[in-house]
Amino acid sequence: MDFWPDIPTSDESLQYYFNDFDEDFFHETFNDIWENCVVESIKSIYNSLSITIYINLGFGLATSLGLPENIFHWLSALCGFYILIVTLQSAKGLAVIFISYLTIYVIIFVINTFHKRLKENKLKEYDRRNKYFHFVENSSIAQYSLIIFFVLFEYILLEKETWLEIRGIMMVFSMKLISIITDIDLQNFPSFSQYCGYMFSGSNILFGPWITYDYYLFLIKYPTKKNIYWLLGIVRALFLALFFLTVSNCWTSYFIPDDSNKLLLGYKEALSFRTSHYFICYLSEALMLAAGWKEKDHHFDEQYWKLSVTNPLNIELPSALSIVVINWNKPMHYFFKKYIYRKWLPLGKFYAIFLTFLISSLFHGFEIKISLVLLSLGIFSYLQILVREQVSQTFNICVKVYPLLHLIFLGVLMDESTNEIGIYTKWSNLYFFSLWIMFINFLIVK
Amino acid sequence: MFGFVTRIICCVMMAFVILPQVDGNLGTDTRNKNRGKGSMWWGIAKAGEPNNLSPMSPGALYMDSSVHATLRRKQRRLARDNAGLLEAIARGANLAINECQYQFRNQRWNCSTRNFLKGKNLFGKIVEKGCPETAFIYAITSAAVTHSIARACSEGTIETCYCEKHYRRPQVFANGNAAGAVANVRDFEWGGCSDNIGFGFDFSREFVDTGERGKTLREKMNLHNNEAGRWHVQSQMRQECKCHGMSGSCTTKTCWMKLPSFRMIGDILKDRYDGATRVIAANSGTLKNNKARSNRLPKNPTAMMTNNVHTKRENKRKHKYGFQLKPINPEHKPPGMKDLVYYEILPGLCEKNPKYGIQGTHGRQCNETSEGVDNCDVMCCGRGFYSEEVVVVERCNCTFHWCCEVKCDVCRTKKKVQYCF
Repeated sequence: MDFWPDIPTSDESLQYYFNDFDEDFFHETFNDIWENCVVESIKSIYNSLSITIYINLGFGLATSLGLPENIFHWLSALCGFYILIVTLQSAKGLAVIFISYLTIYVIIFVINTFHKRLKENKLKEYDRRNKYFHFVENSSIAQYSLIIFFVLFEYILLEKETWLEIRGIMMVFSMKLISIITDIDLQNFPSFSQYCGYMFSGSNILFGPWITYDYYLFLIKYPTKKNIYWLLGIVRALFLALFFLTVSNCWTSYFIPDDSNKLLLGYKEALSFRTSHYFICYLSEALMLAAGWKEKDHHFDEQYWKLSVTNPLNIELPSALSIVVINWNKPMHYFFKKYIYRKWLPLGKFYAIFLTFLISSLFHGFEIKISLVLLSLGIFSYLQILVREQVSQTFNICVKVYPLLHLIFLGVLMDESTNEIGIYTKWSNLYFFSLWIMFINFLIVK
Repeated sequence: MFGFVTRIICCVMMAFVILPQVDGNLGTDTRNKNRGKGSMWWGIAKAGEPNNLSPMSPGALYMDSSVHATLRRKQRRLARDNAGLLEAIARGANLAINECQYQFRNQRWNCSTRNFLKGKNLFGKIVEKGCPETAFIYAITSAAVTHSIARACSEGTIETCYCEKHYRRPQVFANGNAAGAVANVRDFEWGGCSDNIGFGFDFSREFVDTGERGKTLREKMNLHNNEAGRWHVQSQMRQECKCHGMSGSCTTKTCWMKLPSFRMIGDILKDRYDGATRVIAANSGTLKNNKARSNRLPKNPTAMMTNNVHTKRENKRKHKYGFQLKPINPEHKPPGMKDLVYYEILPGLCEKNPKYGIQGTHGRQCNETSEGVDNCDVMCCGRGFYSEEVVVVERCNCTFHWCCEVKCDVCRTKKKVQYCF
């Protein structure tokens, strides 16, 4: 019995030893994260999206030959069809998308012919009821009622999972629809093939980004040449996408363990959401580049292969909330500015902002948490600008603020757990600090 | 090559040096040979304390003679065939002690290992009883071994871990993700070197259950609790999924695996301890569903429903010894895979009882205002308590400075602390 080594038997020394011990044992190691999370996440995304990437590469190569217009449109639409069928998991969601894409075309076609006939045949009457027709011509009501109709239709008819799955696709769809109706004039109504090609374009049907109808057509006239820079551009975008994916899935929870303080945990959730967004943006950039679209200003620069959708650096280290809003999704921001905000600007700045917010949350399916985030973003950044102007005028200095706290505050809502524990709990966990800051801002302005 | 040589040396060492000692040891202790012998391996928690100055080489622990005294022949064979296994088990045993002491910090019995005598059982003779505390000890040690072997496999310190490819497991989602948005992940195949947890499970069963043959009610209870501990580790190894898409939609999703922290498993087992089932032996003839199944989660999810938790081999024995665990209150459900079971209650945890390694609650700190089990009236078993004033140093008057810093003062406050008489 004498072969036990001399070991400390008092609880204190053991306690010391154990505490020392559990440091490395209670958290996942780097190796665990790498093997269980990073590799698996990449595999997981490869399995679901490799086909999409290959299809777009094929489309890009085919278009560089210079396809005739009709074939271009149908090829684009076919790629989109196939990607949708492969990617979407709910048959119901798929059916809803196809039905809404096609019925919308019928509806706008009918409105357009009706409108055209009125204009041609009953010019006098047209003048007499100018006010009413002006209304229709801007097609504002038509567009928005259609979109409201569809969004509500889907929101009530579909289960939550299905809606969540196709919501992103419907957002891109709505943006394209509004821009196409606004941009076309009566004579150049898009043919069915043009409509399908633009709407179903395989490069942006899943994740965006929104592009104008004009730029979609631009590629037919001036196909981009595919070279080594093209491939490098795609690889760069894919690499960044995967990097942000692993940050979102794995590294945030590795570097910020679950027992950190509330502020850090809030930062973690928000960071995880933002990086997931960057992942989607860079992935969409890769898909667009693969299919041959890039930034329009550099269309003829053969060595330039980029399409800036988001700007992570500006968002992570923002100097104002408005910069975050602009850089979050640049094409979307441009869309809202051009087609929604400017359109309603004659009504006054406040109404324009309010309507832009309303339509933006409509696009997001009227989900409460997103609407709340959007509204807060709008008000926060508006107040921030006012405060900044006031402070700059008073002290005659340039003021920089870092709205990181606001980002945490708003970002926590986007985490999936919000659905269970509720918005109020989430915000009260962070002591509503953003609302206090906002209140102080408000007082300063007053 | 080096490993091979070490292994040969190990074998030689064992044959010439260790075995005679062990056999001699066992010979002196024939009467009580089997009582608690299955759990003697817990002693290796204290044997292989890694030394910071000289990190142990694999095999060093194996060659430690003190370890061998605590192991059964089968356990020695397992350790010999799997380099690195013993280190993992030693880590697991320590993990279990640590977690047990954490979970029971406010209880009358505080999982003390203070009475640990060389060559005796780590937790004292309480492990030879059939009380709920015993159940917890068995479950937490078995869970800890599973956890630490799985960890060792993923770190590559056990070389004989195998990888089972394309291993499907039922999806358990963290916090019931995204209102079920991820519920229909189509045929997600877990394709990595994934089955570390399965390996931990099997090895823990082979190693930990040795010596418990299911012959008596006590052994049956131990087997059940060991299995419950492992089951909870495995069921907590979960797949997490995350949605990606425009503005928080779920166009595509990614999934990965996550090994739970052991604190989480400790919390779960503590809950199970609080609701443990008291059982008696029942004839197996009364129970129809006598098919023992492996309860490895993915292979047989329905196995969770039965209370037959043992391996096939034990099933044969079951026919031989022929009894089942049945709740003492016939209106209760039979204990399931997740439940801890016990069959007796120790009369006093209040007084010191060296025989069972019970410290008693004399001099324990308690809380006058608490409503839980650490309340002074409960903890001190009505003997009363005394207060002492101590000076506590803590942070106070914290102020927030823009941006982003929190500055605090250090305050010394007098605080009353209560101790049991």
